[in-house]
Amino acid sequence: MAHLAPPREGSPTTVVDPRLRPQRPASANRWWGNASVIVGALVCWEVLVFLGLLPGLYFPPPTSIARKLVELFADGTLPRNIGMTLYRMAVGLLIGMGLGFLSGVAMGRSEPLRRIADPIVGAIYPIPKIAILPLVMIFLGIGESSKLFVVALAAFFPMLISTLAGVLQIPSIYFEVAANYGTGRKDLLKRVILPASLPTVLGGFRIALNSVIHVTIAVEVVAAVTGLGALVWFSWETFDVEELYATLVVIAVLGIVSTYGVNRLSRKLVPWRA
Amino acid sequence: MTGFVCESVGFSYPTADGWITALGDVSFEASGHEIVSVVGPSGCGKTTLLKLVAGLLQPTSGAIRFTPGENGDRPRNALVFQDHGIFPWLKVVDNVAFGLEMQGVGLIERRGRAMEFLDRIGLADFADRHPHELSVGMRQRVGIARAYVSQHPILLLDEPFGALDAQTRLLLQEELLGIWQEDQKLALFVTHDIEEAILLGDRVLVMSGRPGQVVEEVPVPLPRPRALAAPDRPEITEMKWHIWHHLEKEARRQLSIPD
Repeated sequence: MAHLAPPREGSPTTVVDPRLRPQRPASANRWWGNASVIVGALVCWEVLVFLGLLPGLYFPPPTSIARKLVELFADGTLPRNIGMTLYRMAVGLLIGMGLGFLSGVAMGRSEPLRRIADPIVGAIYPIPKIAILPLVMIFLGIGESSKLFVVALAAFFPMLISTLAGVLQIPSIYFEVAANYGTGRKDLLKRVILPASLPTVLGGFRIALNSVIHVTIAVEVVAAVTGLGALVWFSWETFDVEELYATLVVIAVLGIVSTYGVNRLSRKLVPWRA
Repeated sequence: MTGFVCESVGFSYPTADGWITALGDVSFEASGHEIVSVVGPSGCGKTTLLKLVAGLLQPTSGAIRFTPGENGDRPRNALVFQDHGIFPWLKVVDNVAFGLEMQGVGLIERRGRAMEFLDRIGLADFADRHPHELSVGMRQRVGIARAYVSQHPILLLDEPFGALDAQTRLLLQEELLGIWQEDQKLALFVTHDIEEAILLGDRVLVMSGRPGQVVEEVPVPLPRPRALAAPDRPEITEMKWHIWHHLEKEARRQLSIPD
């Protein structure tokens, strides 16, 4: 037990050869490594265009894309469209994940339900959600609700499948402990099923988020006049190549930020799997 | 007085190859503040018996009758498992307080009572840790603490020290005896370790292999409070060999070692 106590200052056990101590934590080093690779690539790109080795029409230099980005932010184009995309992502994610989680728990806890729903899920899940959009528009019209439905669907399936897997792999001993202490249905869900499946559910959340980004942008490219996907298509139609690149940069940043956010969230929510 | 009677309790379950009888015909009673050890070869239905008494399984034949508690209900029990019995997502203090939480005790009070017990057994410094930061032995102590703090009158222990090394087991046996001495409950202690069964129990129920049956009940005439130095006494050694002869045949059969 003694070794678990915090070492006291100046005690001989805390003496570490300073040469052995890394300058920065490994994750920070990796971050700087990634950043310098991207910056290096951008500098090469800029130089190649400047030297005339890359056609500036198709590959506008990064500095002019950056200028375009600032411009699009300043005139409100990007804030407006980012807002719209984030709104669709958030609403679709919330609805799809919520329903996916609840369905996953229900299927995990009921064998008859699992037997009925499994083949249905298996049949619908592999269909690219963007291909369902026309059908959904027949039912829900060409307005916002059909878009949100398809985005929600993109979040629903990964969430359902990983929640189901998460619930099925809960060791039976936890249910026995809960039953032994007289745990009711609500407490069982809150204190046992949710935390016990959380690591797997968060894996599903990660996939759902990725899938939602893909589908939201795709839906906007095909069937919207607002949002980053629509902006990509609009830039193509007006042949504004710089705007096209600028929008793609924003989409990439959106993906990076969300991945980072989910990883941070996972570490916070599942400290016992640290 | 808390107690229960097992009357010809049997348990069978269906498999693809037909019904399997895990427990044949078990009859015994337990009451008051005694520790009843149950010892038997692996697969003899010891754990099944414990789960039947716990109410997690229902007997397919026979019945278990409980002496009603003060409020006329069936007395509650607390199980201690061999391993993985505590929740990895709860801090130690909340694991210990889980039984109280399920009884509807408020956060402040249940944490207070859990801390009191942790303090008593010297685990207070680990109250805020998660189980993965603890050793296996410490996790078992948390499991025992949870069972005790829940205040249920019957304690059911399913090989709680089975996964521990010999030294740790000795210390935890001693600790359990100490805790029990201070707050005596009716306890059913399942183990495959004959010596452990004798050292902790007031009686040892010896079970045979599948279908599990109680083949003998051996009283342990050792005085309490007990010290663990006792195993050197000749009557214990004698008792040990006596029980071993019951188990030997089954153990040989399982290992295909001829008699």
